Amino acid sequence: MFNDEQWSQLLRGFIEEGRDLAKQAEEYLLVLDQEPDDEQAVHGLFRAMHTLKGSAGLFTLTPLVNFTHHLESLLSTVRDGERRLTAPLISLMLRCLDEIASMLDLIDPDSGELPVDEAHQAQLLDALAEQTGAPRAIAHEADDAAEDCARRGTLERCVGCDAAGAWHISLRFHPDLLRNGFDPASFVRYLGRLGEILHLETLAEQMPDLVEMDPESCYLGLEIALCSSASKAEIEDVFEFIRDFCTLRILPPDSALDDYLKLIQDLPETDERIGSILIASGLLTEHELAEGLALQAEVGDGLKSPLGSVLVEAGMVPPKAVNAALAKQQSARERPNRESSQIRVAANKLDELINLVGELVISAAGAQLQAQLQGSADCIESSQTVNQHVEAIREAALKLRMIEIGDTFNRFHRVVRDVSQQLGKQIRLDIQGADTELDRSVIDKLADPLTHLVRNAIDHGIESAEQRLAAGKPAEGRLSLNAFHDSGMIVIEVSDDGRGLNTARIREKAIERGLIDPQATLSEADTHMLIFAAGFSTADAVSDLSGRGVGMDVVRSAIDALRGSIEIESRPGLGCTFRIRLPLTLAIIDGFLVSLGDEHFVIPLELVTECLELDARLDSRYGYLNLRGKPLPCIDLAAHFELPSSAQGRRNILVVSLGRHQAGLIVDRLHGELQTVIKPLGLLFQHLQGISGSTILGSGQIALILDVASLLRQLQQHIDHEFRSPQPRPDLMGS
Amino acid sequence: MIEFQQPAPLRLDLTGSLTIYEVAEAREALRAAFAGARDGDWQLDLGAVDELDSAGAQLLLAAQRHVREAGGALQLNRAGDRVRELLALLRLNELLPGGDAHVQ
Amino acid sequence: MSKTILIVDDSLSMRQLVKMTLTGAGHQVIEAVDGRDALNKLTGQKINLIISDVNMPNLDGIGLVKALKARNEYRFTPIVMLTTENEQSKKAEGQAAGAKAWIVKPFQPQQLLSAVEKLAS
Repeated sequence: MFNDEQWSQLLRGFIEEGRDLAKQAEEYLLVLDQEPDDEQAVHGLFRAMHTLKGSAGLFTLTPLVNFTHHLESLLSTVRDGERRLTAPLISLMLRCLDEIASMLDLIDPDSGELPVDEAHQAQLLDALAEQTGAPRAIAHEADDAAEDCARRGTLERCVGCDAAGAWHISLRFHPDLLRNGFDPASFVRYLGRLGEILHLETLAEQMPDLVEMDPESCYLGLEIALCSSASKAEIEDVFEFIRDFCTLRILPPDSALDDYLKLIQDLPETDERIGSILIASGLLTEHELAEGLALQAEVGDGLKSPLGSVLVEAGMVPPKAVNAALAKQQSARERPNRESSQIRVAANKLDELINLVGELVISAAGAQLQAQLQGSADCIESSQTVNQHVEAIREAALKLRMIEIGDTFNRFHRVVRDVSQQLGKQIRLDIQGADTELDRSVIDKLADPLTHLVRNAIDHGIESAEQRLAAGKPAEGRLSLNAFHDSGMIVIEVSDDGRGLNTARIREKAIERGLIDPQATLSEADTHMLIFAAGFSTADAVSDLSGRGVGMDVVRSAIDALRGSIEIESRPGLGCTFRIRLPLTLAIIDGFLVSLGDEHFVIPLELVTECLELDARLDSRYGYLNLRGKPLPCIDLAAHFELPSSAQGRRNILVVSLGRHQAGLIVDRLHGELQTVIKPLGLLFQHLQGISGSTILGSGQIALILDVASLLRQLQQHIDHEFRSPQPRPDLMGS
Repeated sequence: MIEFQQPAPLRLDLTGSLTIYEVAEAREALRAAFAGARDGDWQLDLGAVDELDSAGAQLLLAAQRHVREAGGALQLNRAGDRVRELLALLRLNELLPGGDAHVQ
Repeated sequence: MSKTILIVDDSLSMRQLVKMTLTGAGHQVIEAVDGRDALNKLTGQKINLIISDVNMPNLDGIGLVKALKARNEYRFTPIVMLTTENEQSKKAEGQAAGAKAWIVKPFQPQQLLSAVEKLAS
């Protein structure tokens, strides 16, 4: 039916689906770790495994099917309320999910093969069996059914259960039954091996008097209440040889009906027909469906009773089941609509689109410039309209790249759980702002720094339970991840309520490593920032948790690469917060265009707080200006970049703020706002300080994008240097 | 193969098997035996019955009803293990040894 | 309970399989190589179940069923026919002749044992 390529593609699709399901399952498990009774999570978890197993079966990925089968069986007992997920069981299941994830990775999409580590799997399954006290075998002998009916319980209880909890089996025999060598008693005896016959009645309502009857005809009927964990099909199977010689009706126990209804609801959204839905749930057998369809056809008049009614009237299924199946059918029909509201797009296609939009922005700007130069009012208006649309497209395109940070944050539940267990600390993770959206490339690059910060907080920040109690804190430490938008940037905070940074020790270490001069006095905040210096680490032992003593400088450079910044807020004994600020997107920038001589530069608009005219000039590249009574550190960009600046004319200052730092950038001319696409610097220029990218202006000229954070750092270093070796500072008056 | 003997009025001794093979013949014998005294309290001795199947049980049920309709009763005595097992399997309580007293 | 079962099949390996399975469960097994052989071996003893193949020389399964229906002491004996998927057309013929129970080859030994439990008189 499918060629190799199509099959491969389908298989790839399954692998993706499988990964999603495994991830969902992990999330549910972690919810259950906190809230063991969360029904939705239990059902969701079961469904995920159930669906995974089913789909794996389609591709005959037997090891995966078998493995997930065990989990599914376990989860069905949890779902039925017969078992609780204890913490060790959850840990074990998480490991099983890891195994499933690696199996998915091992699937060869071209050959459909799945090599597995049998020993490892066996180990996991054995551990699972041990934890649950369940036998590992999937198949059972019908012999055992009667004995451990009470233990099996997919659906109902046994020993001592009442008739309401039993299958109801109704048999009416054909008169020729006995003549053909069949004996109902043998079948009843066999039935008894499936469970416990709670109640049985032999009826002979149709039997004529002794004198009139045909002794070789069968006038008997049976009404049986059977307590069994067998499925409807298995019960029906008992009577397979005499299906043509009796009318057989099997109804599920009243108490189990709810479970069947849930089964119907839990069915994968593939089938639409009532008959198929009911068969899939186990409430209807194939034989009965054939019978039902025949009955339906019999009515004649070209009028067809709905199959559901026919089945109910014939006593094959309870009415509730048909309603549930109808509801399922309805949702299966609606599902395509819901599903089509989301589509998968290859990431590279999206990037390509964004690129093209970027080019569009540039050419539209160029067109607008031309229109302005031409001076034609119509042209100008026209190109403005174009620009508006381009703007809109740009917004929409960028939104495509945005995803919620919640996914990334949620992964840390697992990390926190595992690491805190490893260290024997009690730590709980709070997440806020999970729905905050970021560009996907930013999120990808954030994962590592965040992990570092989180592990650091757990490793060094949060104390052990005893220490916390001794300090009058609750034994459980609190780690929180928060994300929100603030003036055009996204802010991500990693906070803990641990012991906070040890300022004195940081200072000591920094002096030790020659990072600061022993004489220098640094503010507390500035001392804290020293931990980002290369090679700095106050961990006495290199712990493998926080990255082999490397840690913070790696975080710093990752954040720099994102054109972001990081600051620290720490209070001894109370905790520490790392605050990361990032631009919302890497691709397109809203900027402020300035020029130094003939060279143009772009400064990210969100960082610009004011523009001022400047009459005076600095003697050196760095200096201070009086801004409304406060000193404003400034950089003369022309001097900084060693560019010739226009000696004449007024110069301007752009006041920029980054976090708590403010500075002035002295430039020649201001050109106003623009949006433009960032072109990354080539490898050759990666280490250029102060420049984070380039762009092409509408005029075709190249403008460099300033890396404000880096500039401010250089400014800061200069200032610190000044502190260390005090020198008379040039004092300038500005307007 | 089945044989009936009537050692006393209202008493029948059955010997042999009472299965689908024998029920036609057995019905005739019972009918004849009941003909004169349908309303009596009959005793059926099954001590020598080695086999009973559903057809046989059905016949015994018919026999009991036949007698009851006329105001009489039918009691099975000395039923062996196999006979009792089958009757118990089909929960034919009226027929179980002990007879009408145990009708539920 | 131990039953006496007659297996009628011209295939030695089939007879051996059935014999092994059933005697292993405590039953008695009589073998016949075809319908004629079966009728010869049935001399009035009590047989609880007959298992018969369809395609056999001399007298095939359907012929055997007809013959058995005509013999007084075997007219009610349960019979189960063994058939392959391709022979489904024979099933109708067999049913008409009186063969009402069927097992499709190849089958699991367990199927045989359940059949005995459900069908043997």
